[in-house]
Amino acid sequence: MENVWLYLLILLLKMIGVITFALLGVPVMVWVERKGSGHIQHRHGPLYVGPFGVMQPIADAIKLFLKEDITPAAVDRPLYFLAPIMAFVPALLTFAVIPIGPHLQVADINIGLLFVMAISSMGVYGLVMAGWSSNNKYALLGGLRTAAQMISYELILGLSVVGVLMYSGSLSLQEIVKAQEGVWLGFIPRWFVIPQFLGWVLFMVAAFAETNRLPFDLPEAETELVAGYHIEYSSMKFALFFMAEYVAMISISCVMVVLFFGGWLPLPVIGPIVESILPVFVVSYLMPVVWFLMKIGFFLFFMVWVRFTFPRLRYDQLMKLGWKVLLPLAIFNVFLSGIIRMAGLT
Amino acid sequence: MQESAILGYLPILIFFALAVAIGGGMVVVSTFLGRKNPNPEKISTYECGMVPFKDARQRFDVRFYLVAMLFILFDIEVVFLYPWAVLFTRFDPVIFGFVEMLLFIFVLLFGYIYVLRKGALDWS
Amino acid sequence: MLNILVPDFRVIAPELILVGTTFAIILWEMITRTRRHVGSVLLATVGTIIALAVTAGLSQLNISTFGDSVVLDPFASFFKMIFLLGLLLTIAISSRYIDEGEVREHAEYYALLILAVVGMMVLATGRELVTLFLGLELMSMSLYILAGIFKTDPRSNEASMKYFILGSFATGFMLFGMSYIYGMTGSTHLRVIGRVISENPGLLANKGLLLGLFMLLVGFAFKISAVPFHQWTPDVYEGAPTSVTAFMAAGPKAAAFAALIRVLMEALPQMKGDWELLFTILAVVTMTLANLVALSQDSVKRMLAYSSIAHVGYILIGFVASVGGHADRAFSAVMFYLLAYTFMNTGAFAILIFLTSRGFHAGHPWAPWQCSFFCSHWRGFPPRQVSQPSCLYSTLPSRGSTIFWSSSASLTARSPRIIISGSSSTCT
Repeated sequence: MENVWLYLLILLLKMIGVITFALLGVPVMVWVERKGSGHIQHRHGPLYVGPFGVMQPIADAIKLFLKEDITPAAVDRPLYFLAPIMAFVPALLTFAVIPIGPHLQVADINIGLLFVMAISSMGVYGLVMAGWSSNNKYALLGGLRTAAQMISYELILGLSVVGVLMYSGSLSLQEIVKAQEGVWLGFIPRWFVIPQFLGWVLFMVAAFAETNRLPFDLPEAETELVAGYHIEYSSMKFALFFMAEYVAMISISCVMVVLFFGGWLPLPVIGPIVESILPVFVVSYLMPVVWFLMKIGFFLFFMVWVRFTFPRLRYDQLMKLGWKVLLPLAIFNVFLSGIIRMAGLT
Repeated sequence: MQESAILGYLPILIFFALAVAIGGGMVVVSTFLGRKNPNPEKISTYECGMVPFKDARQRFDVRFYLVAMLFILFDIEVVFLYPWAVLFTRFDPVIFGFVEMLLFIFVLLFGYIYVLRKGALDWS
Repeated sequence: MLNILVPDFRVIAPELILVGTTFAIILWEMITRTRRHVGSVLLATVGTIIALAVTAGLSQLNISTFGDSVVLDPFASFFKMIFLLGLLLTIAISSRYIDEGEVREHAEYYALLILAVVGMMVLATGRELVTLFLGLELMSMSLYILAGIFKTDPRSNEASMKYFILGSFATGFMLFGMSYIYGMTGSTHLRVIGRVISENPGLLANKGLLLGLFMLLVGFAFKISAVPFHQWTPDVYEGAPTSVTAFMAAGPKAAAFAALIRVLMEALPQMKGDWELLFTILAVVTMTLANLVALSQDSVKRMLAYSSIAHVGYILIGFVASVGGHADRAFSAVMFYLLAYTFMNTGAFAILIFLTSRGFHAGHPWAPWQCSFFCSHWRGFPPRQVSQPSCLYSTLPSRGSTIFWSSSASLTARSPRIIISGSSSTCT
């Protein structure tokens, strides 16, 4: 019995750790986004709240909590209240299977990747429900666009990882990370991004679309749809959509790092040097998390960078890109990976 | 610690409960905090300052349905690819598994080209 | 390492040929973008003839593959040939009609016809509930679309929608029944189900199994449009394009009968007592009601629909008769009936198509004669009259009462039919 309690205690600690990681990531990302966008556009970004404005997201959160929570008269109330939760929960739930370190993972299930795909696609329900229940034309249009966009790009997301599975031979995320251990030619890491470069590019593009980030942020499209599906939301319910988007960004970056960039494995060249001078305890418990954070940090910054560099696509262009360019490419990638993998085996 | 496959999902269930608690908690808390001062103008549907006309729930473009249906079709094909890809190296001989899947993908591609030629993917 | 058994593709060779044909038809249309039907018709005909030749060539085999879930035996071959002949006749009568109906999707039309036939063939060859279901769905889905192929005709649309909704409902019933049978016997394979039931006689009294049988029969009764489940038939037959109606009236029913015979004979022969009663009631009610209602129809298509329902009643007598110990003779009578029915029925609809576009007066001098020839089927012209009653009466001593009832009902029920066909012949 003691074992069970110990197990539960460790589990709870892990969960708190992972949830903290996911939720703390949100204010950090907000700050990075605002500061980064400021500097990209030759502005300063937030400055006054705390040093370099680091406390700005916290101030925003408090403000949102204390704002008046307006429920428009025409909404469908049950769905209207459920929608933000439906958007937020799946985004957070994917973290249950993401291996932040070799030991820091809530549940290592053998179909981890399938779980991530299945759960993250549930997020679309929240957005569509918000669009529908608001009884607002902009919201409805935004919700519909979201649904069409997310399901279109989910196909590509799903197809782009097939190549990775051919190499890993497992759907467990922990196994996928372990399959990437080792180096080629002494310094090139055996990350799947190298044999699966096309797969990674496809995954990356689809990831931007899945998280409704620019250049694919048509569901929100301030300039034409005002704010899309969450136009009628205020206060903390609005904040939940906002958080859902950022949590989804972080989780998709995590999945990308796990699938293509060796997850918590050390970086090439610097990794072994740094680990050789640190004590064993730190190397085995702390460093994997540090490497992981460094990797996802890069991709999160990349997302901000892209947002303020590219213009938004038109809706027909978006659908055309997804169905007529990326989908055939993704199928071609499956074919190509099969051939390369076969050649590698014989 | 995983005695059975089902027990492996227990943490996910707990995690799910926590996530719902956090999400639901935020919605509930925000209804208590903050002032409540509604008036008819404030709670009317937002339409860029215009007086809202007609219900928002009108018919919308059939292409959204079309995309949804195509998604179901292709997504099921993708799900079929997963177990195949996981077992890819274990086929004996490997070429057999590859050719089998090529036939499957050929049917998929055929359907795709058909959809393309019929203009189901044209949005402009 | 994975062990891969190479299946025996001879079992499904005609199906594969037909699927290949559908690909060819659609591909041809996509490449040429033509509005002319010639290419589609030609490809469909050639594919069907090849499939027919292959089926005939393989008809003596008795083999199974895919883990014994599909089987090729003379029974299956016979039905496959019925379907292919029906398909050939349908292709022959539709090219002109569909063209005049302004159907631009001619490639889809022929492809769907062929796919429906593939579904029927799977129904005739499947020896496993899930395979049967797969065939049933492939057949039904194609027919739902075919019923609505006249996209601008509201009645065609209505027929399609009605057929789809009611058909899905019946499919639900059938699936429910299958799941119950699977739950009670632990297998979806017909032979295994039959073995489990014969080894555990206690199962026969099991309410769950009985419910499964009942649900399954409800599903089948819908597909063959036996009377309490026939309401969709007149509406769908009337609204659907006439060529599609001709196709629907023959092939799919034969396929449902084929699957029904296989399920009853291989999986549930021990439950004879239960299904005999059900079939007796179904047969009597179907024959009587359909013929009576047919009298008061003023649309020829509706009348033909009721006629096809009545035929189902006659065929069901064969099922009742099979219980008496001469199952082989009873079912061979059923099979022969279906073959004759396919020809006569398609012929009647062909005449209908001809007459709707030309009319009696300006038409061909032979048309009225042909019409009365095909109508004579309703009076019982083809030799089934020879085959079926003999098999019925041969079983009379053992299964006295039910057979007597159903066969006397069949004789009485036929009399209004004779009046109709007589009056339609005099009209001409």
